[in-house]
Amino acid sequence: MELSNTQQNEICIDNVTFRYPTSKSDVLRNLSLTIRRGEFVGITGPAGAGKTTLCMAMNGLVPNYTLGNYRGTTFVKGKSTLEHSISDLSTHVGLVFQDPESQLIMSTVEEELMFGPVSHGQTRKEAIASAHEMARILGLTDLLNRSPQTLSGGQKQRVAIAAALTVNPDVLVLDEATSELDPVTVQRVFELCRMFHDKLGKTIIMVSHEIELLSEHAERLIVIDNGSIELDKAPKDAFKDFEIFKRTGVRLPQVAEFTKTLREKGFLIREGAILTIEECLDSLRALLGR
Amino acid sequence: MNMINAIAVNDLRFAYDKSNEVLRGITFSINPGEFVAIIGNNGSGKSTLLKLMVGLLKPTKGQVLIDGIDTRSAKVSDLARKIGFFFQNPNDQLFASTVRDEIAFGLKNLNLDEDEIKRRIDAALADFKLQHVENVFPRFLARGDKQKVCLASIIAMGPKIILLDEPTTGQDHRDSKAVMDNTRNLNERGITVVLVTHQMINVAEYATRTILLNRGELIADAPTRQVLGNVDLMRRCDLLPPQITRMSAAARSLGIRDIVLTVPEMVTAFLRLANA
Repeated sequence: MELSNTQQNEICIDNVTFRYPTSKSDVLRNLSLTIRRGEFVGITGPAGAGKTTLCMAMNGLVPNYTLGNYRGTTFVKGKSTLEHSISDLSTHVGLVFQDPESQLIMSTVEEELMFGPVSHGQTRKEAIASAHEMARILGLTDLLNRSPQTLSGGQKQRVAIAAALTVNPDVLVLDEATSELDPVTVQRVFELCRMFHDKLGKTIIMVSHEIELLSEHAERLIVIDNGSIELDKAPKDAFKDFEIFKRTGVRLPQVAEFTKTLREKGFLIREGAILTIEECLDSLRALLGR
Repeated sequence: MNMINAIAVNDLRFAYDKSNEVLRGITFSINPGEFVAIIGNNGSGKSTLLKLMVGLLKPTKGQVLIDGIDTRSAKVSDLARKIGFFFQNPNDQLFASTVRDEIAFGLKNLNLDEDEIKRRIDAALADFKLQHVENVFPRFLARGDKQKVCLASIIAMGPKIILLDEPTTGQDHRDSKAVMDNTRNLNERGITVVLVTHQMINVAEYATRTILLNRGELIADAPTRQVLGNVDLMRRCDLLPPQITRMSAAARSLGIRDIVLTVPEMVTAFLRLANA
């Protein structure tokens, strides 16, 4: 692949196959995926599909940190992850994991949020300002002096997200980062990512089982199973091939499931998946002639 | 009729430290055989409430009665015979070297004879279709199977009540449905189920009654349809009903009067309107 091409892309995974030292089979299988600058990509799929491994390949943790049998190449802004250090790549790609415990190491939330800025060269004063600004955005101001270990699961996860954002990466990868949050906070995190995407041009890669929210916010929906990409489409076009969803066990958004059932019962609902409550109400109004 | 409540919570107050009351006077009771969801945002006090129900914490004021026994005077081990606790993370509860030993562990503390222990283990393995992995190290199992082992270990003890703390967090749809269907089967056999979760789709689909907590107070305790159907109240408590429930609430202007909890219910409600 030409370097000039890969440079325009934020992340380019080229025919990657990977197996952990302890696993019996490949976790990623000849997987190719190009993510362009400023995209909002939703990734979903069953447990064990390779979603976390894929996320870790995006900033070089796979294979540089995990070791294992790796074939193919991943480029981050044109840099091969095999030829650059994780710390170099981490300024481009911020990663927030499922389990916030593994990410929180400092004795207060404030220090946790200063850690990234300080290690990327900010003065202490600048780092405090960055930490407080991010705490304000994520509603953590009251918690700045608390120890991360004393926080609830949801609070820890917000601190982890805030910490990843303080170094201002171009790409933010959230690997099931909202799974322990309450529903409104989950929605807020999606909206926050949407804001980073729309206003600041960040590239967002969100791995989640929240199919309604992925469909509403992502521009691209990717379904992964058995280490391969099964589907990669805009959400409005994604829910036409029901076989893929049946096979992978990923459920449809509830309104898409509802309109699919009505179509099967002979109701004429306009083509193209209906993904939001408003879209669904519009088509019901049309059906009822109101 | 004089039925003992499965769980009775009377003016329950709890504070980890004096300045900060986590539960502020909660009262409710649950009858044998009910399937009740407890919902609330992060920090609403629901995890603390669960710990009080199994006796891991004792009330600062008020009381919790489990099958008539006051948790303040009962030993945790005595309560454990009546109430099974299903943790959020299956790894927190698995430690034996085989699935069979895992299920046997709790039973050995019940002073049962060998034959009875064997009978219960075999029944639990069969119930959860775990016979083919009975000699496997539980931690090597897939997450969905680990959860089955946890449930099987709890059920083998013969509890009257099971408490589930976020049993489906982080799981894909298939695994989540499997745990919830298993739970429903247990409930249909008469076991009282208390489910704490953020996943409103599961609340809508499985729980007949829902208790809503916010900042340590009981805000609502009513049939699930009534609680999830109150979209404004839910939002004020940082919760969000399932998409289809929110849609039915927004569809009133079209003439859909029912609050629905599931997609099939929405289909029925629409057909009724379209055919009218």
